[in-house]
Amino acid sequence: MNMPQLPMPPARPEGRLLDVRLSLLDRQVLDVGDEPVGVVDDVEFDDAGDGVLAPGTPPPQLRNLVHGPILLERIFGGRRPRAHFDRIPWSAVAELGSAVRLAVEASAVPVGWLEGWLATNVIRRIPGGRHVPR
Amino acid sequence: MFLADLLGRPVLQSGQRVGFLTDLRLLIPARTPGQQLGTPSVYGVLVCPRRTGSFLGFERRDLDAPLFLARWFRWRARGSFLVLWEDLAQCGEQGVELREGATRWSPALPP
Repeated sequence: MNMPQLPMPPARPEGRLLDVRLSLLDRQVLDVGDEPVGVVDDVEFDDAGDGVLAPGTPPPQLRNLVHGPILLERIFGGRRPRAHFDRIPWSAVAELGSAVRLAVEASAVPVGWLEGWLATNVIRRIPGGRHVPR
Repeated sequence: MFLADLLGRPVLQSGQRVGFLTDLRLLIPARTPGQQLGTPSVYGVLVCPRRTGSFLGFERRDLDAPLFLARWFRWRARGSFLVLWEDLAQCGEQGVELREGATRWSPALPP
């Protein structure tokens, strides 16, 4: 047990501490009506440039939750183009718990790149694929 | 900067590897104008001396059940520590490096 051997950090600004991998990654994302939107596969922070931190550099802020089909990337490595990432802005998050609840409806969340591509290039070419089914 | 770019990366200090990055700790402020939940910022990084890393955070929380598993996972993550953001000299896709004399804090999450 190593926990008692190290001191606890000094007093911090008011707020709640959260470990990303422990309490945010792989959590289900629900919209304002409890409809599932996706799963948190990654998170995006402010760009840190070359990563070299001068003393006093403010910490980066979390900007987006990233979701989408990244299972193959986790297994085989590699990375899709960043433009293909499906992002949910943090400003849309309302509550963190066993799931991540959004303050908006699922329809307001940007459609994933793959879903958009399929809708444009496949579904709309199918007869009747350009309108809502009656 | 994406979390996936940082997890598992070696953490260096004075050119020596001191462990691997296992998690990022965020500070969520009580309020950010115009949002229901404050925008989190990075508070520190959690480092484990071994690649085995952390499983379910047993070393960070006061969990002791099931007893055997709790002890096993805590033992696997022994030596883990937290380094605050201001003690980082580099953090990005190029790597993670601690400043000289960076303080190592307990990885435990406050209640």
